[in-house]
Amino acid sequence: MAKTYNLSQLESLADGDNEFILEIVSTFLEHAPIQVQDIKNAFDISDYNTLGQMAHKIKPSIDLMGIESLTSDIRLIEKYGKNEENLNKLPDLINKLIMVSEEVFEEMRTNNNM
Amino acid sequence: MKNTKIFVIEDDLMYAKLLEHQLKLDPINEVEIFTSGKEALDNLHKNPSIITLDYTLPDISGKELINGILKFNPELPIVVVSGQEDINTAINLLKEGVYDYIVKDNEAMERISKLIINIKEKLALTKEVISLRNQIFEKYEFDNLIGKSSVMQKVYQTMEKAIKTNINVSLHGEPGTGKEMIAKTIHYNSLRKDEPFVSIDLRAISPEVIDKELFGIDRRISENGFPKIGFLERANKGTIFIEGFEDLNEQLQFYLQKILQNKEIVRVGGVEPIPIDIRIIISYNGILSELVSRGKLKEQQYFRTMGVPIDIPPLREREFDVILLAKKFIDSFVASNNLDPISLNSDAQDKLMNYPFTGNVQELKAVVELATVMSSNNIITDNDITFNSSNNLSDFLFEEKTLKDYTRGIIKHFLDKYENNVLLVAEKLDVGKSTIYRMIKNNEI
Repeated sequence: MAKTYNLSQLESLADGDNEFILEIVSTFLEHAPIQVQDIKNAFDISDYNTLGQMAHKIKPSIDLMGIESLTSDIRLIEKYGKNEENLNKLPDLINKLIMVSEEVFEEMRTNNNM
Repeated sequence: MKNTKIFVIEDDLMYAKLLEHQLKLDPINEVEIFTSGKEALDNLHKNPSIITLDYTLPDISGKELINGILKFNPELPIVVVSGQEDINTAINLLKEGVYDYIVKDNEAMERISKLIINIKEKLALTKEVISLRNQIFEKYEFDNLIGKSSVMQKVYQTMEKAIKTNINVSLHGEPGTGKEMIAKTIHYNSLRKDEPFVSIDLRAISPEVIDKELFGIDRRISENGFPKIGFLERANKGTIFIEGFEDLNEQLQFYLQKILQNKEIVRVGGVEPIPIDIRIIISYNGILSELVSRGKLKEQQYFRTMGVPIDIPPLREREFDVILLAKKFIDSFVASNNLDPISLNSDAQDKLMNYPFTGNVQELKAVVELATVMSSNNIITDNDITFNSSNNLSDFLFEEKTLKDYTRGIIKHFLDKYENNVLLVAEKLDVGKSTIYRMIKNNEI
């Protein structure tokens, strides 16, 4: 099965510094689950502005970790949240974000013995 | 050695670590991470050289943060690194005074590295410019003017009056008296000191192109289609020093008068007036009022351009200043050539004091620099000093001897010339041969 994430960009930036890669992955695993949870919480209370801001914040991490199945979706969540538009599409997008994220977190922890 | 302190203000710790890693690839970068805007503002006293920040922070708005930083130091380069991809956001940030804006995408790290290199090059250049400016300011500090003679004290008093105002100045003095030095000292001690000092010598410019050099050329008539900025425009907000002012023809005098009157300039071939604010310092040979009476200068122009007249005395009238200046030139020469200190003995001082220096300060400088080279044992004696004036008669007369001494000098010169033939010399000078014989007998010659 293909990986749910791709660290090639991070590896390229790290230029062979595995310790640095591990540090970044560890920081991601420490903060990203909280950020995803914050997105869900904002959605649950219909705080779309915060929802958009939180999506904006996690966007670069998703890009850097090469989570390709979320790169477009996170931008849509940000846009719909900030503009309060297409709100009916948000539940599916957020569910997908939560599911894929959990898969990514799990796979990353396993691959890096964390 | 760490010498570029960079603040990274980023609440996304993962991204902050990425930036830190990227920036530290250059070992001279010292990176400090702040996860809140307020924390960063509280630490500005550490004087970062560059700041990168995320525009959306939880504790403070990006605009507030940028304003706070620029209030602390308006010159501090701020790079916004943000996920905001909207071009209008970037434009607005640049308007707010941000140096550049980088979107957090795949190329962000590479772009920020290049940008930081560019900023550092610009900072180094700015530092160099500031250093050079300070050197200029130091060089032209009022206290650096050498001369304690009474005639120079009068010059200084008038200069101080000119410095405090924007009035034009006219400098009159023999060649080599330091007119440009005086003009620069006025400029670099005035309110215009941070603006350009532009110098133009009209005697060195062909009369046919003086107007174009002074006023510039409009693009309509320029050969390459681009406008040429003239000397006056280049000096805008600053000072223009015009040498050989008497060589300006009547028409150009009229134009210059209009510029001073209307505070605007029209380039040659152009029609649009360009606002201009300059102080003019002119230098000329001859007496300004005489130039008016001889028709070299229009009377109206005379009064408008004359401003504060400053007569710079020739060196021969500056008493002991000769020695003060000589010592200054020796010290400068010694310093720039890494030599041991060299002094001037009393015979050498007498020789310098008794010489007319028709070439003024410039000639003195050349004479003492040569003497410094020729000296031995770190002392300049009278034997090390050689004068090469082109005006020997003038030099002879300026030595201010008694008539008896002049007579002895003339007779000795002719005896040398005619191989001590007393009769021939007596005939040539129309003096009695007994007078010459008596002087020889008394060892007067």
